[in-house]
Order: sequence, then structure tokens, then C-alpha cells
Amino acid sequence: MTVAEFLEQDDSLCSFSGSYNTIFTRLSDPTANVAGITEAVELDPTIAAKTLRMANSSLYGFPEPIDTLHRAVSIIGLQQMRQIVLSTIVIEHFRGLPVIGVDMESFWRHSIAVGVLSRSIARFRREANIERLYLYGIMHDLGRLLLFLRLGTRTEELINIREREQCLLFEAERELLGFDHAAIGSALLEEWGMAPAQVEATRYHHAPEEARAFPVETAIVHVADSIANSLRLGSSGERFVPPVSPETFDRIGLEMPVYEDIIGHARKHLDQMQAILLD
Amino acid sequence: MSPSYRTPEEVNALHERIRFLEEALEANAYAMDVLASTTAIFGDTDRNRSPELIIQNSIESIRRLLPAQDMAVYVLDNDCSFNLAYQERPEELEPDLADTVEQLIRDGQFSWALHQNHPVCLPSPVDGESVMLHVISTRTRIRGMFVARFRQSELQRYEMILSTLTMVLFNTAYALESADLFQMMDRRQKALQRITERQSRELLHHMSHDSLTNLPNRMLFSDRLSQAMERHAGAAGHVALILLDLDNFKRTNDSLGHRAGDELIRKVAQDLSELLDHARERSGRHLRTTLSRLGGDEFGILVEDSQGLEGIVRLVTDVVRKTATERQIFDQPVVSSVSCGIAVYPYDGEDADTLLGNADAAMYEAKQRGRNGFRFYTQDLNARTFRHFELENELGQAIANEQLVLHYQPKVELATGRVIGAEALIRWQHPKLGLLPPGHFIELAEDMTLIEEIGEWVLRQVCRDLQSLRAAEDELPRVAINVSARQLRQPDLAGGFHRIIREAGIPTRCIELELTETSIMDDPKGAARVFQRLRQVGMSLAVDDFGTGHASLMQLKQLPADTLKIDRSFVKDLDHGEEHAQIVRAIVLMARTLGLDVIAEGVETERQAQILQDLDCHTAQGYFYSHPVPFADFRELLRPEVALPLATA
Repeated sequence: MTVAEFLEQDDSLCSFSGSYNTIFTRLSDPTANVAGITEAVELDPTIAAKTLRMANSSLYGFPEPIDTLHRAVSIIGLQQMRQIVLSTIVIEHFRGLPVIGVDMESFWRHSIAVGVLSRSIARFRREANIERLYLYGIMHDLGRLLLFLRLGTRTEELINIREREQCLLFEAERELLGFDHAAIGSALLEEWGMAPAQVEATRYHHAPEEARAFPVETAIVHVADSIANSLRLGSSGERFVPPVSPETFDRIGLEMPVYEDIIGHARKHLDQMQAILLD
Repeated sequence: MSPSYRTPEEVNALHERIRFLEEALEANAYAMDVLASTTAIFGDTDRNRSPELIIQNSIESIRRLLPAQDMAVYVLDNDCSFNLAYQERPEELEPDLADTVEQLIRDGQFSWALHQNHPVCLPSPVDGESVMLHVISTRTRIRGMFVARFRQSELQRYEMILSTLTMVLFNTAYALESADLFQMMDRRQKALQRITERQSRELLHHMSHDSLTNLPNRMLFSDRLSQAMERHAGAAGHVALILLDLDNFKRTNDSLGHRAGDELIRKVAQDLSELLDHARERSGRHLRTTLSRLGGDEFGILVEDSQGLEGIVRLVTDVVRKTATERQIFDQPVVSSVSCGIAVYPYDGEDADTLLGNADAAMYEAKQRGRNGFRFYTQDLNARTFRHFELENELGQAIANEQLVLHYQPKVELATGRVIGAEALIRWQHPKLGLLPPGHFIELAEDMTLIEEIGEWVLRQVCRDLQSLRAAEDELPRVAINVSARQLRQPDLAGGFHRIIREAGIPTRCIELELTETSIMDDPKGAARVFQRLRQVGMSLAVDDFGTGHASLMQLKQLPADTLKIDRSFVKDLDHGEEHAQIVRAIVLMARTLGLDVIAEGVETERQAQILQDLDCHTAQGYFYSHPVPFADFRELLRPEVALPLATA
């Protein structure tokens, strides 16, 4: 079975339904302006409310309350708002699905943690658009969710391999299927027409040295994933901490003490983000 | 799908969309253009390294990107406060952008925006407008804040371009950072340069000076000595090198300790430099001295432009006398004298090393001779230095010691053999060297400026001698005295001479002044002036050694002289052929034409006397008649009954 065949098995999982689809399409239009984005988000009251709560969260720390989506978009920024809304839609879309083998609450906590950590690393690196890394982090393990869904009860086989081999879960995936969740996730994102940087960061987040076009983005997600695992901030089924490749760590270019600030910053916001996104 | 299925609303929406896309395309093209030229922002050449210029360049880029109502740039200073570095339209629009920013700072929105690495659009007090904040920061450091006012409608159309703005401001931040680094490097470089320069100066001083006394050390001293010798090479004057050594210094060192020894050296050095300063003051500042500690208890003094060697002797005598004194060293009285050795360039050596060696030998000699004194390099009478110095020293004393004497060589009327006058010639009765002719010391006297004094003495002595004749005024002989070129330059030679003669009660016509043709030709105008004055007071004048200089007839005519003295060289050859006689004949003829008397000097044979007479020259002097003789003898010759040999035709 190939990744393509894997994705073709159930089309419904791979595309959004109803208003999510409309919002997704409008957000993806690069020529959309503030009014267009605002209108799109308002199509779904849940998404709109969550987005507004996000904008008012401590993560953004704006000194005054932001009471309209329009203001939120102009203050947080158009590109930034796209990524926030997208991540919210993705979580909303997948969290209701019946998945065996992983605790959904823990899975999303892990994903949000990697999102917030990636954003935090990007922030300390003074990247121009840090919300983009937040989105990459949130969605980096989407492939695993699809994998669990597809495998259904066969998920147990995967767990057995992990236990037997005492290996990382993605290595067990490769053994069982010939490919891992990173391949599945990146293929899905590609099909959705997401940015090439996100596709590559997802594809190589367990093998960052192979990222050719976007090594920095990939490195950030890779390091954030390891940190989230080592701090046990939720879990996507991984038991061991995926090791950080030193080369990748150097590529980010931040000194070790800075990571304490990064982690502190992420921890401060994680619970609040979780409350907003998963309630 | 065919267009006919579209409702009119849909068609309008599509039109709108096409227009929007076209605008976006255009805006993107602009953005590309700006991005292509962002390197202009960078402050990487000397020319655009100033923050003002970098901000200026950034604003120009942004102006091409976005149609802002007003823009401003705040820059973070070293005290972490934001200062307005640029505003596009200060105080033009209400409310002023700077005031709006003040409000944002108070509300906390400004500091919030500092942490957003993208353009942040905040509500403006003006309806339909937004205030955009964008931090200017590198990856590691916030450098400032870009602030602008926009119409909201415009802003929405330019939404696409905002990421370009981010890039431009990012570049700006780096440009500011590198400009800052360059400036810092520049400052450090300059500071380093200053330090290096100061240290090299100190090092140079250190290397060339003695640390105990802060005097020049041997190295610098040798250098100065060489320089001084170079300056005086070929020129007049001399360079004296004096080496000093403290007598019995070792004893002081041994009995009182090295610290006491050092203290003594320091004090002696101080005394010496004060002494030299005074000497310089006294000399009217033309004396040049260098004092140096050459090592141990040895000092060196370099003296230039002293007034003759005598000045050096005075100086050294002073040094020896004043250094040999009792000093309190750590409450202990210490008496220390010095011994000095002197070597003089160019006499005692042509290079610094030889001179130093010779001075050292002289100092050793001084020590041998019982210390507390000085010695010149050598006392050998043949050594030029010493003879020169000694003569100089003795000549100064000669007048007072009555060692100068006058001899008179009679001038004779050829026809009668009668003595009609004399030339007074100076002699120095030297105690050791015997009777010295003027050739041995007049030049020296001129160097020492003793010549005026000697000239006066000669005149007075002549007057005294004439007085002693106790003869009637009209029976007094006329005496000629020689005047040197240097005397000619005295401001009031004529006045001074006239006064002396008058005081002595001698008629002025009895004194004749002789000047060589050569010295007249050195300064014809000056000579004419002096002659004029002398003539006015009634003295007569003679041109000595005539025929050896190059006086033209015109100059001769202008000179108010009375007599021409035919040079001995013409007289000597008179009996050797007709052509020599012709010259003398010509001179005599010329003199007669100009109304001058003629006298021949150096007549040694009867034949010469005879020819002269034939050539119409009627007076002469020379060994044929008499050598120069003391006045007592000359007096005898003046008696009317005495007649000197006649030239018998």
C-alpha cells in the first residue's frame, strides 16, 4: 500500500464539510482582504467565537479587549489570522472522530503544545509570521490521526511492534506499513494546497536533516516535538522522546538558556489555549 | 459553464474581483521592485553608515510601497528609550502622529506591538483611519519602531504588501545594527590608536631617558652629539663634549647604601641642569646644552654655540666649582666633587665615538691629577685645540698684561734719506712663544671680537709715543696704523678714533689709517662712508697693498684717500725687468692723475729705491732702510742728523 492509496480509501476524512470547507477555501485565497477573512470566519459561530477568544488570550496579550473579529484581524494580522482560524478548523474537524489507540484529549494537548512551542521558538527567533509555525505545530501529527482511524483495531499491532522492539512509534509505523505518519500527514496537507513550507516541515519532522527547501521551519517543529514529548505535554502515542539531531538544534541558532524562556512562555499559555480549543 | 448562467450580481462581483487582482498584481510588481533595491538601505559603506541616512533610505522604500498619510520612525537609544528619529509631516495633520504614539505608549499598545513581528493596525482617533505599528528589529535586538497613519480603505488594498514592509524594516534593523557596530569598531580603533600612540611616546621616552634622573640617556645623547656634529660640519663654531664623573662615588654608595647613591645622583643631576639653564640665560639663550646621565655616576654635557673655547672653560669651571658642594643625603652630609674631561669637535675627533673616547681619556687624566678639576683632551702644545684655546685665553689677557707692543717701520723720503713718518705694526710679546707677528693672532682676535679693543690700544699707544717725543706740532711725524675690515664695520669708528686723538692732544693729520685694497673691495660703499667721516675729522687715509685687490678706477676716484701704497710684490720684481717697472709706472701715473700720493713698500735693495725714484715715486719703506723697530729706536731715527742710505743714481 502506498501513501496515495492510503489516502484514497476514505475521501470524507480528507476534506472538510459544510461551512468549514467554505471558510477554508476563502482563507486559502491569497488575495482576500480583512473584510473577506472576517466574513468567512463569521460563517461558523463556533469558529468565530473560538477565534475571538484566541485573539483575547494571554498568548497575544493585547492590552485591551478585542471585541470584533474585524479588529482581531487588523491587530493580529491577516496572514496570522488565517493560520489561527485554520488550526481551529482542523481541531474542530478531527476531534469528534472515533479514534482507537490514542486518547484524543492527550493527542490534541500534544499537538497544541508543539504548536505553542514552535510559535514560541519562532518568536524568540523573531520570525516575521510566528502564527505560521503555530499552525505547523498543531498539524504536524495529523497523519497519525488518519493512521489510527484507518487501522482501527489493527492499531494494536502497531503498539505491539513498539513494545517488542522498544522503538519509537514512527519506526513501528514504517515497519508495519512501509511509511510513517509524517508521510501521510504531508500528503494530506499537499492535497489541501497548504504552503510548501508546512508540507516539508510535516514530512521531515522526524528527519529534519532531509528538509531541503525549508530547513529552519522543519527544525523548529522537530525540536518543539521533542520538547513536548520530553515534558509529557500530552501524547500522540509516542512513548519515548524522539532524539534531537544536534545539527538541527544548531540550525535554529538559539542558545540553550533561551529554551528555558521558550518553554516557560509556552507553558504559560498552553492550558488556556487548550481550554479555548478543546472545550 | 457559460456566462449566461451568471446573475448580474455575480458579474459585478467578478468585475470587482478582476479589478482587485489587477491592483494586487501592480502592487506586487512594486513590492518586487522595492525588494530588489533594499540593499540601498544597508549601511555598509562609509558614506551611508549614519543612522539618519539609513532611516532616510528606508522611508524612501516604504513610500514607494504604501500610500501613508504620515510616517515616523522611532529609534531605540542606549538608555532603552524610543526617540523620534524621523517624521514625514511633523505637526501638519491633526492629531499629530507623535501625539498618537504617546497615547499608544500610555495604553501599553506600543510595547505590545514591539513583540509582534508583523505590521499591527490599531484603531486611530480619526474615523476611517488606522495607525500601523511595525517593530524594527533584528533577530536578536529591537532597534526601533515604524509608525504610520493610513486610510483603512487604502490599507485593505495594500494588505498584500505588508510582508514586504516587514522585510524592508528587517533590513533597516540590520543596517542600523551594522552601522552601530561599525561606529563602535571605529571608536575602539581610535581609542586603541590613541593608546598606542601614547604608549609609543612613553616607550620612546623610556628608551631615550634615564629613569632615575629623567635625563636623556646614553642612546639619546649619542644621537644628539652626532646631530650637533653634523650641524657644525664645515660650518664655523665647535661642539664641546664634557664628560663628568662624581669623585669617590663608590665610597658614598658603599657607606650609605645604593638608595643614598641614587639620591645623590638625582640631586647632582638637578643642580647640573639648573646650572646649565642659568648659563643659557646668561648667554642670551644662544648657548645650546644637553645634559645626560650616561650611566652610573657619569654625566655628559653637550655644548654648542659657546662663545669660543673660553666660554666652555668658564662653564666647566662653574660646573666643577658648584658641584663640589656638601649635600644632605638622607640627613647625612655628603661632599662630592666631579672630574671633567673635555673633547672638542672638530679638533679632537670627527665622529661621536672618537669624541666620547677622547673625552673619557681626558676625564681619566683629570682624575689622575687629583680629581675635582677638568682637563682638555690633550695638553700637547701641538694639538690644535689646546693651542687654539690657550692662545685665545692668553690673548684676552695680553692687553692687561702689557704683552702687546708696537714696532715702527720708518717711511723715508727717497731723495734725502730723511725719515718722514712710520707705519706702526703690532707685535705680541708672548711669554713662551716669543715675539709673535700679527698674522699669528689678529684673525683669532677678530673671531673673539677682541679686535676693537686691540685697535683702540694701538691708537692710544701711538698717541702716547708721539706725545713722548715732546716735539712741536709741525715737527711730529705722521704715523700710519692698520685698520682691519672688521673694524671698518664698527658703527662709529671715526668718532671713536677722533676722540682718542683729540684727548691725546695730537694733531689729526699725524695719524694715517691704512686699509688694504681687498678689505675696501669687500664693502666699497661702507668703506667710502667711513673714509668720508675720517676725512672730515682730518685724518689721512692710505690704500694698503695696492694692486692686489680689484678696485676699479671709478671706485678709487670715489674713495677720499690721500695715498696709494704700492704692494711689495711689484716692488720686489722691479730690478728683474722692464715690464715690472711698467706696472709701477702706471700706478704712479694713475695716482698722480687722481691727485694721490704714492709710497712703495718692501724696498730691499738700493736698485729698487733708485728705479722707484726714476718712476716718480718719492717715498718708500722697507728693510733697505730699516726693519720695524721699537719706539725707542725709531725715536733715534727721527733725529735730524740721521739720514738713511740714499739710492745713488
